[in-house]
Amino acid sequence: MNNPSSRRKPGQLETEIVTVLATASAPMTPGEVRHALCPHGSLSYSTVVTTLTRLHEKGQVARHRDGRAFRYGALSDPAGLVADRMTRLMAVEPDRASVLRRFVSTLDEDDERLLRELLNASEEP
Amino acid sequence: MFDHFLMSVVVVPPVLVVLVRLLADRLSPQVAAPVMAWSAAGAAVASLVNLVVFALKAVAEIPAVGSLFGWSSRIVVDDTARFPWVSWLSVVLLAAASASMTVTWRRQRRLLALAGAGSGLGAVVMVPDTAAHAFAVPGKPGHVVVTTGMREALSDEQFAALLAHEQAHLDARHHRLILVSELAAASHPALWWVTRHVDYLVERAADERAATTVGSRRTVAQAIGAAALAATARPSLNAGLHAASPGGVVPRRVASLLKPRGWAAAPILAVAPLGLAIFSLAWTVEAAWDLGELIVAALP
Repeated sequence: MNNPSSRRKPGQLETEIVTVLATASAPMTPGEVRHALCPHGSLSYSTVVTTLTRLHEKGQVARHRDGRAFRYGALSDPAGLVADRMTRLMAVEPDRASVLRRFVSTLDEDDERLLRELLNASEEP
Repeated sequence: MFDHFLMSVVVVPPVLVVLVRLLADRLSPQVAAPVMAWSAAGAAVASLVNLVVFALKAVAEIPAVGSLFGWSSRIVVDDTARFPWVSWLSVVLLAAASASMTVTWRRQRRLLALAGAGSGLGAVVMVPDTAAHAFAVPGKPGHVVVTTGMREALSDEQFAALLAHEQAHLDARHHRLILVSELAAASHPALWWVTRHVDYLVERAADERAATTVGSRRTVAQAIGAAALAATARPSLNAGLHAASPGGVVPRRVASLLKPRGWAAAPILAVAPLGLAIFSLAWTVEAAWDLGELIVAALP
């Protein structure tokens, strides 16, 4: 749509991004991908994020959460693949009654308060 | 034959729910989890077979079918003349149960297929992710997936407790108990209440086993607490889904571990839910036998 780099053909940016990720030594943030593609900054950050998101939706790149951002990696990397599968799993898997046994479910406010009381009481001798 | 339907489909499943509710917290979780899951399975099979028997009776009630095989469809209908709807209701219920069980089965298979990608990487797969997650993926061999976010939230002792807990799930094949009780609940709505207990008991069983492995119930309690607080403090992508889940499981697990170990009920009481399921199954066999006798009686 609003591709700022009119020199690129449709789909070319996707291919370039996948190449960058495949040759990188570790999963990259969108900012790092943008810098590797275009050090002069003529490519907009949002275009890179949009393209990475689309590639992930198509299952062509792996991603995992790192703090508030995502890191993206090529699918050839086994650890990256597991991380990606896990991110997808967490998005579809409900908390309870699943063949995958989770260590803990997240807490609502009442449970959190109750849990802190229990733990505090257990600290005392 | 109507009394068979009444007993196995209408009466036994709710009675089982009451029994499970009475006994669940009073038995050792390692005993209670499989007992409750297989009792639910037995009651579910009995209910399903009853529905099949009555669905067959519904077919036998069709005059065209009667004339084809040479029996009197009138006599077949008259057996449940006071409740003429029971045969066709069974057909509807059977269709609903089959559809629901298929959905459950496919969902769990899909989850396992999705999770299976980590196999071959070792018994413990560390995933670089700041969100705190940990879970066991069954398989040959099974493995445990832990995020770096979860590892950082726990001390070395607590992390050992987490691994022992997940390994206990894999060793005891808890995913099978969950699948069995999920399928039972899919076949009969009342059994959903049993599934909730099985789900909790399976966690408690793994907690107790982990406590034996690491030699401290308090360490396991603190590991669960620290992990749950970490998982909550940094909500993951699906935080919205958790709102609907029944609360209170984590505090109950921690409270149970902080109390001295001991179960109020004698283990022999575990035979009560199993016995009820077996009774329902035997009663169902009789229903099938009765249908056979009815058809024979309807032949000229």
